[in-house]
Amino acid sequence: MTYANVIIAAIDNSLAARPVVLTAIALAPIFGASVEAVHVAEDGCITARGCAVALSVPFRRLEGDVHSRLTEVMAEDSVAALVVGVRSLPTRRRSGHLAIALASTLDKPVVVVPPQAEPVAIIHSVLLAIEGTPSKARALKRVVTIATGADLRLTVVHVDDAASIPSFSDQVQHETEVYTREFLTR
Amino acid sequence: VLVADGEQERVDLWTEQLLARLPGLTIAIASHGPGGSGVHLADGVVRLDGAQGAIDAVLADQLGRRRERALPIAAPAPLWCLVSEGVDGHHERVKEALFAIADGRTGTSAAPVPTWTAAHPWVIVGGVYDGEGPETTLLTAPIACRLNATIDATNNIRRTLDLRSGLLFERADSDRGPVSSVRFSRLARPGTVVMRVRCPDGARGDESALEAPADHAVFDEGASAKASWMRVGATAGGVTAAAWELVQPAGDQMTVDRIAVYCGDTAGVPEVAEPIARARDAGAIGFDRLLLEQREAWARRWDEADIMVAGDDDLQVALRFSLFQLMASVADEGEAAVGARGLSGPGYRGHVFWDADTFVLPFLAATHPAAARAMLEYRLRRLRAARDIARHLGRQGARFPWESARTGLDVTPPFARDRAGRVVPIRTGLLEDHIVADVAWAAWNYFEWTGDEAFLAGPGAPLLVETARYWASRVRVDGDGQAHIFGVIGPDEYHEPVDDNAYTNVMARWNLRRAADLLDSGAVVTDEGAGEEADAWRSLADALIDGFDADTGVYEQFAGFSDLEPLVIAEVAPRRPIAADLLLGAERVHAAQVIKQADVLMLHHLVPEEVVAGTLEPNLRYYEPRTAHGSSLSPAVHASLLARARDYDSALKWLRVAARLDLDDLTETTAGGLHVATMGGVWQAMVYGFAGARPAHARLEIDPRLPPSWGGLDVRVRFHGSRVRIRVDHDDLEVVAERPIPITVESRPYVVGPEGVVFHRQRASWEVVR
Repeated sequence: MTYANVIIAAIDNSLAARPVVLTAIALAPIFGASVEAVHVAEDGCITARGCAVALSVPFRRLEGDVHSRLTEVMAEDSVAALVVGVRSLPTRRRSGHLAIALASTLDKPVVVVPPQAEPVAIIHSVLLAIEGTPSKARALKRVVTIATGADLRLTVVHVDDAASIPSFSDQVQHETEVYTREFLTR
Repeated sequence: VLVADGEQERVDLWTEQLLARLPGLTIAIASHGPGGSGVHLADGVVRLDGAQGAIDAVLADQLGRRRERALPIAAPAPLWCLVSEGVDGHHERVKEALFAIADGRTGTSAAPVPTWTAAHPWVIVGGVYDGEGPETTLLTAPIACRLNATIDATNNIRRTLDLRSGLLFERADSDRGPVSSVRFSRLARPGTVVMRVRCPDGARGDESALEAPADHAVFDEGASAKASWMRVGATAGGVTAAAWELVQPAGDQMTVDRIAVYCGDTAGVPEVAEPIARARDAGAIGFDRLLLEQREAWARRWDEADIMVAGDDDLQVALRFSLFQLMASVADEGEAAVGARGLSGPGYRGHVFWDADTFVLPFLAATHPAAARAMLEYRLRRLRAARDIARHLGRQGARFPWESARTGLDVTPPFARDRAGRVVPIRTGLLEDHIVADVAWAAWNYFEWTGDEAFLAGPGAPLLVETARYWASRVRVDGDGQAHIFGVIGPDEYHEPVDDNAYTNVMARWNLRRAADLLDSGAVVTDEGAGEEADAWRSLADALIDGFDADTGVYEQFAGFSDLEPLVIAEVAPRRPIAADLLLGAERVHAAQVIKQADVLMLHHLVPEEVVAGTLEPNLRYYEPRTAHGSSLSPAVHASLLARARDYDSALKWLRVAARLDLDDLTETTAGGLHVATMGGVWQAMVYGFAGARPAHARLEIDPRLPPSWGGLDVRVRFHGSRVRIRVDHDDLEVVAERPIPITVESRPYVVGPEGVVFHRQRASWEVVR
């Protein structure tokens, strides 16, 4: 049986590469995993390789369509999660399109790192934004499982809008208790 | 009961007058071939073709089924049941609350008989609490309705709750095969849960018939011949459960009859002897006779309380669901601690609020007074604690707590996290004083429905007198001689603290006047000086300001309300009901004319004689659009008042919200239990609002308001010991009483007895025709 014990840091030749790898390194102990940097070459790999070497993580270079190749990598049994950045350099395409595409198609955790991020060395707490639908609750369950194993503090945030705001709020000293218990059960 | 075919009138008579009471099967024999001769078959009547031979076959089948110890067939009439199909882990706890069974003492969740990871089985025994202070919570008891089989997401569960008889049918697919069961909580002998299961051989293994509760530790457990037992201890008292069982093979299946008896005590953990003996006794009676007894007991309760609406089947089922839960939630012996969720779940920790006194009790006072009396007994046994609270606050008399549990001292949590995760102070325990008058009103309401003068002059007197003493010490008189109550929270909890809340002041005024009347009547034995005390209370009551503006006919909800930001929530909110404090923020709501629930309008609902005549409409026009209905107590009260004001569209809109509050999980908290106060409000809307039936001045006043979309309304109540049936349609009003009682119809007095009185609509008034 193959254990998912590798976190893929998908990096390009941009300023986002370093925070992506640093984030992957910080996430590694949570998943009990090691980190591998993957670069799908579009225009060389000097910056990407240099970043991986500097941070002492293995580097893999691939060629072809970025989305397709990363999807193939993520399908490997040993891969637990993906960390991907958002370009800081101006491009023709809207910033973040790749991250969005991957996050919406992969069935493994995807962490998106902004280009100016300054990742912490050790992650102690995670903020989780959810919508509150049954499918999101299932995703939350996976995160809770991971967070529990890694002794992480998990804060779940749900923002009500005019459509989802509750109809009733009776006695707050009991409503929150009932709501929370049911939320956690679900 | 056998009804011969071809006797249309007789069938109607029997079905109408007997069916609700009869626990058995009514059979119409169609002797004129298939399809019969057009006999009207009422709800619950089975047609048979073929005369005597057919009935012989039915009886033979029944005997065969009894010998085989077969399950009863789960086929309740559509207007008498809830049905749920499918496996839905997300909403499982909601279903377990909706389909829960109870008997007034013990509540059992509808968790499936086979085990399932999404299930959260619980058993609670009313009035048995664990913990101290705000942490006081209902003790959960051993679980008796589980077998050794497992459900997964690919399986199916079909649950049917028969409201007429309090039976929960279940068919659950499991890893071992289908597990079919019927269970009930024994209304005739509360504290007994009866279950028959037909399951694959081996589904009943060697495990104990009782399973430890998830939330509380088992004190000790054991087994004797044919009975196992388990004890769960609380901070004070505990619950002991004993289970008797009979397992018999049935081909490749097995039949399991299990009877669990729960004994709760607030002084110590009960010994095992009593529940074991009771379980064995019930076992000796046997499942079939217990089932018959259950059907008879529920039929009697329905005969006292059913409400029928012609022309709205969805509402009819929702109504019966509300009535069923109200009847199942309250014991009719000893004391009854009715928590905010009754016996349908552990939510709100089982704490007792004004919900019980103001919303639940009237239904019982008017249908099953013994249960209302048990609710009042709960307050009476905590009178000493209420006196202690008053003394601690530097007041006199009795100050009942906003949240009550075992001791009668206040158990309101002082702080809580709101849904935004912020820690907020909770001041209802300190400031929501109106609970004092609410308890007094409950005692008076019980008296008005029952005419129980011995109670009012005897054990019940302190509920009026001691509460009046509290108000007398709470009220402050200014230099102009006007009396005020400062620093309170009214039913509208969006605004706190406020001065001279109209609801609090008028209820206090009402309380002072009723208590003064009681002292002056001489019925209550008092110390010397009672006359002076009564005079002082009357003077104080007369001096209490109530915020009434004679020019507009509107009561100001509290001093300064009209100066707040004039937000009309009906205009600014995307919909109602809505939790306006979450929509706009607590600070904005606090500074605006946005209210949570009926406040001034509660006066028109509870004490119409204490408000100026003719002020319902102006106050409805002013306050309803400003009401977010963010409290689950609000819709039903508005439905009642809007019916009185003949605004039928609005009345029905809010009635449906209230009636379906839990069925549609509109609060998103039904998983923690059902909103029994809302259900009590639904009954009040039907009886006080639409039927216009209300006890006052030792008469039953009747003044119906029938929406055009309804074909008719049929209400049963008990007034001064006499069962009363009120039937109204758009042309006729009929009132029948078991024994002669005084009634008032459109301010005209009548006496009604078993022969009944029929009124016919003549233009805008009711005229006697028979």
